[in-house]
Amino acid sequence: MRIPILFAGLLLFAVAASQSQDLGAQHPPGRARAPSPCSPEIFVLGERPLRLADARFRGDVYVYVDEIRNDWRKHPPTLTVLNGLVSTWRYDQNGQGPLALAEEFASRTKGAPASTRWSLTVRHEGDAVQFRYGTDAYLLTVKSVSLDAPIALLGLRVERANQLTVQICEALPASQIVQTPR
Amino acid sequence: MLSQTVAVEGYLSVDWVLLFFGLCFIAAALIFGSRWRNIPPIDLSSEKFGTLRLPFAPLVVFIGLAFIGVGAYFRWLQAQSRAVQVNQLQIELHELTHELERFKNYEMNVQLDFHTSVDPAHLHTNLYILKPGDPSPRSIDQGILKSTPASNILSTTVPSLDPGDTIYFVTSESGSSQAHSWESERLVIPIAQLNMSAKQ
Repeated sequence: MRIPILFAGLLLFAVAASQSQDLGAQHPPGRARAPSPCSPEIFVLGERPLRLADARFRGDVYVYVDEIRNDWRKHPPTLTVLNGLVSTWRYDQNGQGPLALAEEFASRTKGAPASTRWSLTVRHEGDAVQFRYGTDAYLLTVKSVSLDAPIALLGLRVERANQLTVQICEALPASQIVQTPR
Repeated sequence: MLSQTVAVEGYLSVDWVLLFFGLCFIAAALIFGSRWRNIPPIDLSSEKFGTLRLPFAPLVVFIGLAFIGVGAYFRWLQAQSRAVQVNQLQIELHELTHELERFKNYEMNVQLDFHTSVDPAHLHTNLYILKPGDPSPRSIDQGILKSTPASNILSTTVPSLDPGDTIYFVTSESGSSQAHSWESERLVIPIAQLNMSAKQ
């Protein structure tokens, strides 16, 4: 009788350990990193602003995705990159902001100039948006859309949410002409 | 190039002068040869080759032939020099043609940042070029812009620009319920000025 209980306990421990390892890889999402042509993969949760702690951006670049629905291909989410966002949100040490619905995000960032805002309608994995920070251009690519991904471990409870996995690479230098809405 | 031309023309005049003199010598020998019978033969003596005794008239013919021969040598030299010159001109022509092709193919590449995802198939873009002194810009239909890996960036090429031209783009979107239009900032085509620093 003792052997099956011991075996079951060991199995549970192994599962918990692998889960926590996965989550460790996902978080922190925006921890400061050394500059390199491409950042490691970054996890962006739906409806939670994320301040990129990439050393290249000096905490000035924010990423936000509105609701990532389970049928996201039918109702594609919009990812927004903001440069120099000023908001009263509190971000945790990983750069993760609080829950903010799309309307709230829109109203809070209404004052941000159009030239510092880029948006991407995520229709397919691999879609990308190019944004500028200073004189440099960067390409943010959506590597994958994960539905019901484990995002937090509270005791033995795992929270699940939809999230995007993105990567930011330096774009080829090019002179650009900005098209502004008329 | 100039010195070569002078040299070639020099060869040409020497060639004709020597031919003329050579023929004159031979003609003189043929015409006046009978009168030169009284002139004693010329001894051309050499320690190495011995002695050659030539009557005066044949000697004059020989000298005439020598003159013509020297002229022929200059003609050959001229032909050689012309061949080299033609070869050099061919190379220069090839290089200039290549440069001209490069110049013809030069087009300015422009990336348009729409700041939002756009579908190039639904966009209509006009390029406006304002030449210095012109009252109004000239409009050129850009057709479908080229897509790039970033969905907010489209690229296009602008040919035939002169320094001082001002260009800008106007884009309108069709096929959506809410019509969007964009206008780019203006770009004055500059003349690139590069600072030259003294090398150590």
